[in-house]
Amino acid sequence: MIMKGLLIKDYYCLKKSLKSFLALTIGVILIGIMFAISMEHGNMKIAAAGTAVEAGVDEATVFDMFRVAVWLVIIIPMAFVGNVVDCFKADMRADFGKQLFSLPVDSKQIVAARYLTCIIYALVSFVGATITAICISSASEQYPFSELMSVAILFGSIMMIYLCFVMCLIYLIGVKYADYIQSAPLLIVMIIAMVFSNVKMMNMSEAELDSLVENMWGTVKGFMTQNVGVFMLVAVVILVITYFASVQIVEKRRGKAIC
Amino acid sequence: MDKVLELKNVTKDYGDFKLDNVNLSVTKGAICGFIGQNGAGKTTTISLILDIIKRDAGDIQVFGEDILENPTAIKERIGVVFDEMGFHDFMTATQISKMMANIYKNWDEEVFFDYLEKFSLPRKKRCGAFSRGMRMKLQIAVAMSHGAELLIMDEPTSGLDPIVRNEILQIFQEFVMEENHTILLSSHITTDLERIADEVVFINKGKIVLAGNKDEILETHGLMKCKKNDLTGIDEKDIISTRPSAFCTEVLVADRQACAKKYPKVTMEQTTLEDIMIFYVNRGSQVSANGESSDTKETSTLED
Repeated sequence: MIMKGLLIKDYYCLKKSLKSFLALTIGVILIGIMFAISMEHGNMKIAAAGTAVEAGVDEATVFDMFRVAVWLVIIIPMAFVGNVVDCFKADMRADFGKQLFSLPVDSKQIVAARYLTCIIYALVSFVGATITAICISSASEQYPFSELMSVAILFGSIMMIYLCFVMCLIYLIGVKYADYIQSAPLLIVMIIAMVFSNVKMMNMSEAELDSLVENMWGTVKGFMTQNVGVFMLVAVVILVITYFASVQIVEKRRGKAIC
Repeated sequence: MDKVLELKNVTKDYGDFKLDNVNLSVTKGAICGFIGQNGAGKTTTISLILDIIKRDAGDIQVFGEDILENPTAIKERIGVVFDEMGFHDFMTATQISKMMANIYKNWDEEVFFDYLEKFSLPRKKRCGAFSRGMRMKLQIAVAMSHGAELLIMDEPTSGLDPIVRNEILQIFQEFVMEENHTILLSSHITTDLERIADEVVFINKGKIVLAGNKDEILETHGLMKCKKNDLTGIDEKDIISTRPSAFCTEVLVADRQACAKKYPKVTMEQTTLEDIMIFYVNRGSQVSANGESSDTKETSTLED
């Protein structure tokens, strides 16, 4: 019952963003359908063919990379991450920490309510992604529903893992550093990828580079779509671990954990 | 007498500020005024009582139980009002009621809406658009709508106009008319506490300097008006502290009647809580200026 009160509070925090989330989903559906039709009959198909000829790369690989509509579905799970972090910021702006700890709630309930908000919002984004996948796959045979849903679930799991770490760090370091906490993992991954790719590609010939592009795309895509279940399982494990870590942090920091 | 709230040797050290061995108790059915200047430690003490921050040492008993042993059950019986409203600006009173109904077991929506009507607060207006007085009344309405037996309030009348302050003080007096209702009210507006408090506790620089029945404190303390020549004839042990003015030196004494007999030629007047607070604060400064540790001064306590 107590958690329900905190969930109600989070719902009021996110009420506005639910409307923009709906608008985003509709936007993604429309753009996705446009891309799907264009890739089958329109300019995207011509552009892909031209690129394959110019780059001297296998046409099937280029066409695969140009199937943008597949990757549009990841926008929806990515959007829910930012919105859940907004709950923390709203609590900080209201100086809700003092009020919260004067209520008959304990640290477990406080953290559980926030994690439940995260899960509920993830489920809402999953519904949005499913509707998007249904609409795009109906518009074109090139985009099977199963492929679109695999991508959505995969990125939903990655976003859930990311969000669990972000929430735990927000409890540890403070809400006022939320923007840095959200950006840091992305920056670190980008820097590692840039350094790795530059070091690896510095000594490669043009033919080796072309082969790498072809193989890398296929390798990454294959790994990700074949291990959707693994990512989901990892997301669940990380969620449980970070929940217990967050409870310990909130118990120790008390009101400061919400500031 | 039953004690609803007891703090024993409570300590919290922030490095640049220390709440040092605070001993405080609040009698059941009383309004206890917790007085101190800004930065004295009032909010820190209240935060420790409510377990918003963790104490370094000491014992805090609320309703006879350690707050740490059963915090959720104890907090069900406490209503809290902070100096700044802690609700989100986009929430309305109705939404706050829905939230609280699912947090407090004894939340009474009817009582809450009755208070809203009494305080002329709109149900569906966002509380971010409320004035300071309205926000305070909203907090009070929330604090008094779940069957709380103890109200803990941190400067609830600060920044309010006299009319709203008067209204709120009347509400507090009505609240304690019920036998098991108690209020701990921190403020630096001493006139409010002179009006409604039964007990007062003075805190200065993290230490309790004076505690006891308000009327007794006002009755026993006195203000002597001395010329320079008279001042030299006054025993230092009788002096709390002094304050020079244009025509004389004012001297606060802890035993008005005894000093009136001892120094019959000196004018003795009744004093106010504000003067008592100022003189006790000045005592700390004067002691520090003389190079003595203020720790050597014992807390004055007037026990029933």
